[in-house]
Amino acid sequence: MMTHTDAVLVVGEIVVDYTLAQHGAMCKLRLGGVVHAARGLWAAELEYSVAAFCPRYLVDEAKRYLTECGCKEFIWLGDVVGAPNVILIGDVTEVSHQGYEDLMRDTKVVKFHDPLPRLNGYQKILVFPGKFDINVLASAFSEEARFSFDIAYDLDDLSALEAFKERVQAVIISTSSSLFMKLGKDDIEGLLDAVRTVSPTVLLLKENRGGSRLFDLRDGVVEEIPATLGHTVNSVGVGDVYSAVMVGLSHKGWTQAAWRGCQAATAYSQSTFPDDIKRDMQRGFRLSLDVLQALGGTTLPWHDRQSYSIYLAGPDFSYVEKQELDRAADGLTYHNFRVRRPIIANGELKRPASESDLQRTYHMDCQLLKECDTVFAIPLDRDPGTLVEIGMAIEMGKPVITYDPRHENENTMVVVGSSVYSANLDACLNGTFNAIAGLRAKSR
Amino acid sequence: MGSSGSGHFSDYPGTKAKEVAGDGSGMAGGASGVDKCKQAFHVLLDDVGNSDFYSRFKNVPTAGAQLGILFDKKRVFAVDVNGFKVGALPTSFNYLVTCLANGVTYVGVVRSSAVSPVPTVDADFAPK
Repeated sequence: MMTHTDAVLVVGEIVVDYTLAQHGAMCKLRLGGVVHAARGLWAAELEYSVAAFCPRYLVDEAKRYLTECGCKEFIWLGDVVGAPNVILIGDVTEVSHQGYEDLMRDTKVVKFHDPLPRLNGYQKILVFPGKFDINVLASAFSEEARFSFDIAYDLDDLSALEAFKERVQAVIISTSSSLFMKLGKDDIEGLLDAVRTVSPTVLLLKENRGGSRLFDLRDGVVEEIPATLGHTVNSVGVGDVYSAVMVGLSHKGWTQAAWRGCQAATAYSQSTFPDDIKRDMQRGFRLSLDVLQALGGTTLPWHDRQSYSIYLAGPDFSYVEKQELDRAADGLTYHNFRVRRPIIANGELKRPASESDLQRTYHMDCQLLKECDTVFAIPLDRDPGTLVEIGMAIEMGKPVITYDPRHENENTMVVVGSSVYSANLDACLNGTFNAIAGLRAKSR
Repeated sequence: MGSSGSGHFSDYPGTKAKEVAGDGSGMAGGASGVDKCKQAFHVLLDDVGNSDFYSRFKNVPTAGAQLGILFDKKRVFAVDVNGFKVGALPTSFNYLVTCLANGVTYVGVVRSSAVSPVPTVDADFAPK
């Protein structure tokens, strides 16, 4: 068998991603799963092959598409039966839970080909675990093969990687993953301890809009790689592209590889057109690492977010129609922000309220506002209390992010006084990350 | 009823974007035809009061004055014809660094400006 020393072999499942049309955004039908990583490697002009599980009906389509995307070899590892391997995607911007719907997932079964195709022509392997037993694959690789694992959804325990111990280069985890929620949500040390059991060289923790951290487990050095926040067109597969490009460039050193992976991910988030992605990625790669680092971006590690309080200003009353406020609160909580809701902290007043209750609540809300580091305001129905709180926060010098989904407050004082004013939750979430990252940077 | 862009995979490299016919809302193709580097933009400059230009002249460029774009290895600035920094571009314009590194240059013109109550300059830029 021919040996592909530099090529990355991407291992995982191929699915169909279908993004539902909503809020004026167009629907999008794409091959997903490891095909996202493949697009990223093609756009980065890195050599790669794919070994994948997918339903029989997708095999020819996947081969054809991947060939057009420069894939050297497509290896069908096995069939998927009992489910179409179709994922419906609700929220492409990941302002909150992405709402992935894996159709018929409960009846899905992965059937390995017997005998397994040989994978011993590759030394640089990137595995995206799925609904298949990784250990069954272990014997198909050569002794020289080195592995990286991007663990997203289908692996809740790192003991599943023990067959690869001492041969693992990178473990890659996102803060959106169930494994992170189990091992590292509250304390990074728990995650690091678990990861050390498989002896990788590095751990990459992808922290969504707050950037990422590369932990070099040989010397304990931690590299913070900032996010470049812009208009998110589609966040699906962005993390996979980060991992693939990083692993593909690992021969340049993990730090440089991670920065380039992050650049690639940014390009992938801003378009779903592969030629656009490739053009933008190649342009970005012409910047030196020094320039890239000097430009910076948004750095706000998951575990630091709870150190800053956000005062949620809005008509958060039980009798108000406020689905936008609830969605914003969910989004902030999803991203691990410490959201302080005065109605929950200090209670909702009876209607009509007594003068003493009004006095007491006013002072408690003012105190809470003073204690918070920033304000996220949603002035639905031009709620007068919210507008007063916006004014007070501006005067206190606190960053104010005003989310005005119904375009009701397009007023000079509100628009200019706010650090960010937008009817778009994605933009307001970016603004929140930027504002708190700024406070964190000042305090260091 | 009709197509909504889900009839087949269409994002093959090397194909141009087109909207899918039918009721909905699909978009096919490998390239959108849009290039951010080649788009004109309008910007309200940051830190005009701390800029080289304001520090030197205690003034701001008047409407109609010509501007250029400079990256000083740290931030992107608007500069006057003599190279004095007039103000910084917000970090959302950092993508221009990539465009400049790939040979795209920009020319701008001050749309409006004011010295008080705070020095402000807003400008229009277009690729040359």
